[in-house]
Amino acid sequence: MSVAFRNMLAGKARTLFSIAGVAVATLLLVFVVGLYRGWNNGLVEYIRETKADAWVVGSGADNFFTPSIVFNSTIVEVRQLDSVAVIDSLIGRPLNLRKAQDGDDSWETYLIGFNPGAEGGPVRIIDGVGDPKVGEIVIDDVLARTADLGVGDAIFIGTRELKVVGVAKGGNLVLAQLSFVTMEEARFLTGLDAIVNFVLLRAEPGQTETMIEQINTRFPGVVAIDADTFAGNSQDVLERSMVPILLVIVIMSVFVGVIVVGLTVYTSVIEKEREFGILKAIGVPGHGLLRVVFEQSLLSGIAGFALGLGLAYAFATIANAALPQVVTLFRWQDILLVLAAAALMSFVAGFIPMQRVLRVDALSVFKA
Amino acid sequence: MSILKLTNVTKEYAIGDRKMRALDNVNFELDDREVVGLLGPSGSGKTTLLTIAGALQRPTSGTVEVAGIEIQDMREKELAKLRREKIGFIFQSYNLLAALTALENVQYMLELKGFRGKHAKERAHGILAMLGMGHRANELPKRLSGGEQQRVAVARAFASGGDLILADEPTANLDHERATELTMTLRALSRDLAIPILMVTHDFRSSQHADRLFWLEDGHLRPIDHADVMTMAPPIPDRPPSVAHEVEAEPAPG
Repeated sequence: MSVAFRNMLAGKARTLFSIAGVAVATLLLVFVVGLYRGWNNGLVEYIRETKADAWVVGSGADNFFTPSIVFNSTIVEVRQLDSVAVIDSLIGRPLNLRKAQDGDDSWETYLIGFNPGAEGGPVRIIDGVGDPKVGEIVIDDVLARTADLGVGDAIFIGTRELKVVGVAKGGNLVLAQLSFVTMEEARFLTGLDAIVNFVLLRAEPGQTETMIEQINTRFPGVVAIDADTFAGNSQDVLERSMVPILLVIVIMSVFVGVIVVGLTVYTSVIEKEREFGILKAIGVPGHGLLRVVFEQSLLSGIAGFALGLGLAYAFATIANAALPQVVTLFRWQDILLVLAAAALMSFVAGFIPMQRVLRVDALSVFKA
Repeated sequence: MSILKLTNVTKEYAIGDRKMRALDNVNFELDDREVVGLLGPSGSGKTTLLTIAGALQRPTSGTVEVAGIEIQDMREKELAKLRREKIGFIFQSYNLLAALTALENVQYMLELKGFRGKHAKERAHGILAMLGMGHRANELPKRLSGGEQQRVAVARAFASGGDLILADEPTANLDHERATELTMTLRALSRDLAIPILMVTHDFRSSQHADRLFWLEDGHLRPIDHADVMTMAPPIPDRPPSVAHEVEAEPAPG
């Protein structure tokens, strides 16, 4: 029989308050971690889906977000290397698009110009086609929902009118979403003629390292980076800007959980101090008394975690429907981590009440 | 055989620079199947004696034996085990666990003793039924009268199945009829289950059901006859506060 559980049932209001405290903390933790994973996943998904062995960027750049220039002449020279099997190039440039030429509302998009049929196009088409022609554009699903756009709609970049021919998933870069046009269209829109921003390389079998080394030694104006490192570097950019903020939210969440559970368990201990004295008097050992407090704290933690997890899923669904940019990804490893955090919260929250219980005087129960 | 034996037990409390003597060289033995009443004015040291016998505090000097085991030098963990296994307590204010039903209060004690699940529950129910509380087994303490709560407390004390019951003013909150009924029940259980009871009481009439009576005053213990007690009824007024009274006021009211 669990005295802790029965005490919790007897003090329903306090128990609910305690559970709600952990639930709020869990909700925040799960949601924040899910948000981070969702954004992170969206960011690297495009880079990984290009299936390039290496990315070539302008000197000084090492990720997708740093401005990069690669001259067309360099592409011609790189193409001559024996280690290079396939070479594609991309133009990537943040731009604003509008639904009407003179409309007030504009949406930031990261425009990708690619050669249809080559690497660098949309990741997964969910509506329409993925190989736009001149005068056409493929937009990301998040952008489509945010701007209420669909296949067949017209959009404007500057004065240029483009027709939406496809909607794709896998291009949400948090601050902007990828849109895809032909290389020819991109050159027209950006005015870039003699340069591209990224070069994608596929190496001959077993030649990836050689290819990267050759480029890095022979072409001083550019840097070749293997695809995994390039994706990792790009993730680092997100982490550098987002993680400190998320960390603050995580710490605040744990703090809130510990304080709420700690206070409710502590007030429960004060209220039940005489009963702890009774338990001590009838021979319940010190660890038995601590177990009552710890169980109460842990039960609040587990119930709060379950409630918070459910709320996080519900909240994520609602948030994504209302704000398409809010993309979350819940991984079971992260859920386990949050469960561990909830258990830690319970333990820390129970620590001070436990000290008080150990000091309860059994003789006090002889007072009428 | 002596279940409880106090030899030259003295208990002093330090209050500021002074030392207050609550028990002064007390010698006492409690044998099998007997109910002993301990009387005395308020603050005379009765509860101090009870809590020393109950392994809840240590004497300043002297020896305390429970079931043949000297306990005054035991560690706290060992004392808790001794209380759990050998001593049952009945308190003046019942001291049931508020969140547990009558049955669960008794069952919890049995589980502490190592009984498990269904067996503990059946045994708890049997003890409550023996005390006429079977029909109220599933009620929370707040829904029971004072007399009923005290019967549950008695059931819990006997459920421990130990060697000794220590009762602190068990009839203090009951009317005369209930008090007499409870005292007679305690006496019957003591005889039937061969468990001796040391009962602190102010109730002179209920104390008549005890086998032996002791008077404790100013820390000194002496035996008295039942007839002596009856001459005291109606209860004698408390004596003026003694040294022992001052001592007991804070650590453990008697």
